[in-house]
Amino acid sequence: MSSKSTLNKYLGIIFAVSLFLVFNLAVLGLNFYTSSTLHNDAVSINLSGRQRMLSQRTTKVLLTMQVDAAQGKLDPKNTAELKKVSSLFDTTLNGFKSGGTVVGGDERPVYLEKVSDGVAKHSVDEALRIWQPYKQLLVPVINSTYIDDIRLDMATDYAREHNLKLLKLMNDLTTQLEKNTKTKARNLQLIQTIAMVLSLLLFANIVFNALRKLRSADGEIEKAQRETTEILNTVKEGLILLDPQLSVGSQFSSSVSKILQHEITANMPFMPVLEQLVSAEIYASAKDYIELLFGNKVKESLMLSLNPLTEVKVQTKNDTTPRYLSFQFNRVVEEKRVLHLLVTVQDVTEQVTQAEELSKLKGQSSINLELLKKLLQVDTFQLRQFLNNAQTGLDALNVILANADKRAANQGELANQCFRIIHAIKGEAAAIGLEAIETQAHQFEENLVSLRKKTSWDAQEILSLPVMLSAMLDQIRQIETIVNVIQEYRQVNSSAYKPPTISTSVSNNLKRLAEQVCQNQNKNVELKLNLDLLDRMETKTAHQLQQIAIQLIRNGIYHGIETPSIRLAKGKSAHGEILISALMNPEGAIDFIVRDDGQGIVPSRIRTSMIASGRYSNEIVSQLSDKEIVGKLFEPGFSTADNPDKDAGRGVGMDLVQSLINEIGGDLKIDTKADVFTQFAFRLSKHAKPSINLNATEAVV
Amino acid sequence: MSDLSEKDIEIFIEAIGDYFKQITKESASVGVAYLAKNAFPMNDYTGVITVSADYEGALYFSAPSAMLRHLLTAMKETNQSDENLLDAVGEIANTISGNARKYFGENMVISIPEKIAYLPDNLNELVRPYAYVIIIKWKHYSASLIVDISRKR
Repeated sequence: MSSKSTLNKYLGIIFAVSLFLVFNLAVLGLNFYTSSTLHNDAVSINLSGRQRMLSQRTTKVLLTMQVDAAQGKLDPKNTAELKKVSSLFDTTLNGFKSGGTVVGGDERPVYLEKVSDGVAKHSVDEALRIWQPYKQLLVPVINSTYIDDIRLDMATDYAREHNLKLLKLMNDLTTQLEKNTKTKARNLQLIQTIAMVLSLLLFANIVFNALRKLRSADGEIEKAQRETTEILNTVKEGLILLDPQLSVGSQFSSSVSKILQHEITANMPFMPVLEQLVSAEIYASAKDYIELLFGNKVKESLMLSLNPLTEVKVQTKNDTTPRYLSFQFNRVVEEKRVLHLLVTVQDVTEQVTQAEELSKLKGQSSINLELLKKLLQVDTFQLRQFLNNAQTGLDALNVILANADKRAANQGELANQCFRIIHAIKGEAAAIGLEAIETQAHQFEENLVSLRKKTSWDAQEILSLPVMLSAMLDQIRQIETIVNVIQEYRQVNSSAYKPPTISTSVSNNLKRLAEQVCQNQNKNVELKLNLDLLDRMETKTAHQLQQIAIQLIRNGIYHGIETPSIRLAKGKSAHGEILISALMNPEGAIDFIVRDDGQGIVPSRIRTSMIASGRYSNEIVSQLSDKEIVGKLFEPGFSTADNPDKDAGRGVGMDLVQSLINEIGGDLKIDTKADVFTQFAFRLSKHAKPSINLNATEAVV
Repeated sequence: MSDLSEKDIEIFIEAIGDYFKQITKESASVGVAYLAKNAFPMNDYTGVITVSADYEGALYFSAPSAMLRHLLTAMKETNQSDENLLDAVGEIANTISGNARKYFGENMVISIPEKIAYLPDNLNELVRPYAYVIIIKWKHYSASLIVDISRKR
């Protein structure tokens, strides 16, 4: 704990004690002042009492001198006595009147304060009025060296007449002074009592606060101790403090005995317990290790990796199976000296055995459950078709790689070939719901993007391609294995199992794809399909038509169909519509039509997108005719999508459509009207050049 | 990640590149890698290292005798007997294993190279469904590196 926080903690007490001291000093000062005033008062009372006596002695000496004079005697002693007492009386009385130094009871000069009280003042004034003439009468008597009867009689008569009065006045003065002093003393007593009470209260406050602080500190210690005990009783890990003699400290967790299978008590030596648990070899290195920890020369973090007691196998006589324990040692350091080692013991049997089981499991080929679920849903015939196609495609891709160096051909074109292969696999995988392959293909495409721009390949740079190719082939092989099992199972269990027709499975695939793309693009589309004719075609052609449909659905939803809000603003229904049909004309030729009621292909919009993409200059774009602009859609790598994603943006789709139509042999016709529709139609024949009609009317269909 | 990564394969390729650069001061160029399960482009002499521990399989470096002769000449070695040519291909395989050891550490235990003359182009018992084939070009010669290594699952 820092000294600052200690100061804060005791600030209250320090303040109270300081206040108490200041207060007591003030009371002491008051006492001092009181006793000095009381001393002055005592002097006044004492002297006023003496005045009473002096008045009587003056009268007595006068009377004695008168008796002596009658006998013709004059005692000089009496004269001297009269002089002394009258002079004393006179100075004292004047002292009372206006303050001053007078002779005290012990013949020493004392300071006499003038009286301030009204009654006392009156007594003094009255006494002075009587005393002044008296004093005048006494002067000749004191000064006369012979018996002067007349003056003596005059003085004696005056004394007789006023003696009692004077005595009474001096008496009054004394009484009044005593009264005043008593009042003052009483007041002072009251103040002192109050001060004492306050001082006591202050003291009590200090004592109370200090006790409370002490009690709360005691409480905290007690609570901490209780908590420590609770922790030690409940904690699952074995916790022990080891002292430098390697003995167990006074506190340890209750679980430690159970974990070590040995009764642990305070101050017992720890090493023999460890020796019983582990092999001699481990014990020896553990001993060295613990001694090294107390040595404090090596950093604790460095020591961690040296710990020989990690996942150490133990089997006591109570254990039916071996257990694994991990010991962790942490230094408890004070002033750079290792005081104790905190030993944490954990039973890690479960973790160790689990890890062992896991590593055993890793040896087995793991099957992705999600994938399995998908595979069970898809028609195996169709799945096989897809796998064959994918395998063929990937083999072709591998041939492209193998021959990439041999050919003098433009490697940029090779990239486009790879792109078409992968894009077709991606589309089909998405259509039958094989997301894993779709994702792999999408990643593959990402690797191809940069390659497309290059005229020659850097072999090391494209090392990722064979690696990804290998991964995809692997995945396809795995799926093939599973499909084999599924097919076998179905054949055994249900001889009546009939695979769905091609038109059904293609329809299902296209619906699934449309749903997925709509979800990704936040659009609503109703897919209308009329594909029964597919069942009458060669499987290969049907499959190629599916691939064309896949690309055109993706494009239709991504580029053609507007969002519901835009459609509503245009006065269309919120749902878009895509119609795909295979129809036979009277001559027996088949027309394949994909039509959407979206925004149409508008050359001016394509121009804007081309310029906005930054890949085409204003000049180039303006030089192209509308047909040339639409023709751009079929160029590999051309896209008007802002952000390429799984659904669009690589500029492969239309390139792939064109190359598939070339394979089938046909003539693509595009009809479109801005904000109304786009239709792709082709008659399955041997010719292949797209013809584009930008000003179609609804009548075309 | 259960299979070899791009980086893993690169280690083998780089090892060969470094070897040629160091010995002949002339870099070898690398062709586009592809996959094969048969009809491997085997040449006259082949160095083979097999791997174990976390991995299984083997790595083949196969070079035509003319290339190896040229290499020996570049090294000012006049004895160009079959034995010496085999040693040269073994030396390259050894360099590859040295680099691989550094990179894979104890996870990959690598054997001493085996030197074989005229290995048939169909390998028995591949551990991978497809092995990686990388053509290494030095001067006008082509050698091949075949990686049939897989991480144990």
